Amino acid sequence: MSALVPARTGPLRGSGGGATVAIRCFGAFAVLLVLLPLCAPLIAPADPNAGDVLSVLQPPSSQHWLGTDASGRDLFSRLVFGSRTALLGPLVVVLIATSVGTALGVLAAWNRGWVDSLIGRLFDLVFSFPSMLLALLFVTVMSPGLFSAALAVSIAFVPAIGRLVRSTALREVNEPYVQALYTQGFGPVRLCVRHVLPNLWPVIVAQVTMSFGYAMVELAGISFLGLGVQDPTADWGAMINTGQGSIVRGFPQESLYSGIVLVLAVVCFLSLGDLLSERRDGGRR
Amino acid sequence: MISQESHGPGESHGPRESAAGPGDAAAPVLQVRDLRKTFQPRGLLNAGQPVVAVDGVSFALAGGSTLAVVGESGSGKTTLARMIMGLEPPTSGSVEFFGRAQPRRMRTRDRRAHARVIQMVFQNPYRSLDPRQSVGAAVEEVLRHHFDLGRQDGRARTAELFDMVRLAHNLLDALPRELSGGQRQRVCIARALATNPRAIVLDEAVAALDVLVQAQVLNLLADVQEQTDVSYLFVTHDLAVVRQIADDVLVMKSGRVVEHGPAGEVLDHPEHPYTRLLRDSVPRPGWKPARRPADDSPTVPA
Ligand SMILES: Nc1ncnc2c1ncn2[C@@H]1O[C@H](COP(=O)(O)OP(=O)(O)OP(=O)(O)O)[C@@H](O)[C@H]1O
Ligand SMILES: [Mg+2]
Repeated sequence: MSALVPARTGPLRGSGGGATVAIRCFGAFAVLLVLLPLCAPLIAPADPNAGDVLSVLQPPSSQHWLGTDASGRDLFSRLVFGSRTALLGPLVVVLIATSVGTALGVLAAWNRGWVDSLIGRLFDLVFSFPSMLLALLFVTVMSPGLFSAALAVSIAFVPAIGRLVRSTALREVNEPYVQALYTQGFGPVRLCVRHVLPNLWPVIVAQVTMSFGYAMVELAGISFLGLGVQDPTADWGAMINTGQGSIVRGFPQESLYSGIVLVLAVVCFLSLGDLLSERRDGGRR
Repeated sequence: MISQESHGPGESHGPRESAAGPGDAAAPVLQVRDLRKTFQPRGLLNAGQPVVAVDGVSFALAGGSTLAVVGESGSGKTTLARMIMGLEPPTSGSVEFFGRAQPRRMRTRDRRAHARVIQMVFQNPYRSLDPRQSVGAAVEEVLRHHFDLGRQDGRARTAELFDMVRLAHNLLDALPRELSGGQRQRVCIARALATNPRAIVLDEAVAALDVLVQAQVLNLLADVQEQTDVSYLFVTHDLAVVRQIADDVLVMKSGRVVEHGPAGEVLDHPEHPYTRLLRDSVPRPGWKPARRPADDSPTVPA
């Protein structure tokens, strides 16, 4: 994920130094967010799933830094471990959606004609399906859980990435350098993989970063509805849901804290994606 | 010096080369017959009225010779070149290399064989190289795609090609954006030479360069022709350049050939009024850049 802090987009380096600083900051935060689930056992002071009926809904204390939930589980530990599903889900989504979307987008741009039309209609079809509906469909057909939710969101995200890649690749394919290589007798696969794709990287990276943020929201929503990550596994979206019960009893902390970390993480990835794509637009040759 | 020198299209190299294969050695490198291209404009407003970009063009390009294609902007020169290169399927007509017709839709192996016969240097030197690839790697990639060269030999041969186009070796690892227009155009020429083609299409290859660099590149092309006996199809609208390098000239107007003949003859005694117009609208020899073009008095410096 450190590739999200690129220093290589050369042509317009000096311009927008402020943006570069912001990219570094958000990038550093993103790296921390990614390290969090990896180091969770080192950071969390308690077992996130170990409840204690004698200490439910405790206020923050030296023993439970953020208090406990309705089952007496340590909230801080649950937040730390909740980052695992919160980041793993979007990671699966961007991996699937980006590879499928990029492949289809480049395929459409390269072949044009009926291939392009077919892929375009496919995108329209998927796009016209609300992703929540798609997720509902998937969890009913498969079973509720992170993977089926992530698969549904991946499919829902393909059109956005695919369309962006198609339009960028279309411009790239018409560049004389691609045509020159074409007349050299290079095969289409090699040409696309070795020459067209690397030139689309800045666009793809920006889109991936932003999709990561959106996927986080979508997956949290699905988990909030009880269709994604299942109790007792800690997850920010699911915690907002389970915390609801205690809000009316005057203990908003579980929903509040998980909501806050979710928003912070999403804002980080969206802003990073935004900054990256802004720089890319400004840095076009 | 050049290890692949003998790999001309006149020899067979197994099944791979069959598409553009040996053909007829006595036939011209390139023969174009009655080539036509019409574009059907898309869009709602101007649908229906097709644009005839190239209209019945025929010519032959003999080995070791230079044919200049001149004509105003929009006369179909680039479209003609693109059809010859297989980048645009002709509406009708045929393109032959050594008497062998080029398939209308070329597969990868056809294009690979085609690349051994003819190469192109594109109009815009700023965009005809992959911006992320060093210029040395760009040339080497083509070399190793066509010849069975190891890393070491590929590198060495690339350096030879750089020598040939008089580019310093320290530019081998430079990215295209670090090079000047003239240097990039030389890289493109080196890349075109990499396959030892029998002909090179140069689409206004020197138009974007300043006069000095232009002269250098033209001399370079002449040297290369002397060394390798390559043919040039030289698209330009600079008649001074035509006089300097071309054996024959083909004058195009609105996609049609209006005049075709030996360069000196056509330029000195143009038969078609359009050629006369073209000739008269360029500065004559003796014209000084410092003087205004309107000044028509034939002053020859002492
Ligand atoms: N892809 C295309 N679609 C539609 N029309 C085209 C296309 N390519 C070229 N044309 C048209 O064909 C005609 C010839 O264009 P072409 O680029 O071959 O001219 P040219 O002689 O190379 O001009 P220049 O000297 O400016 O490069 C023009 O009228 C142009 O508008
Ligand atoms: Mg042109």
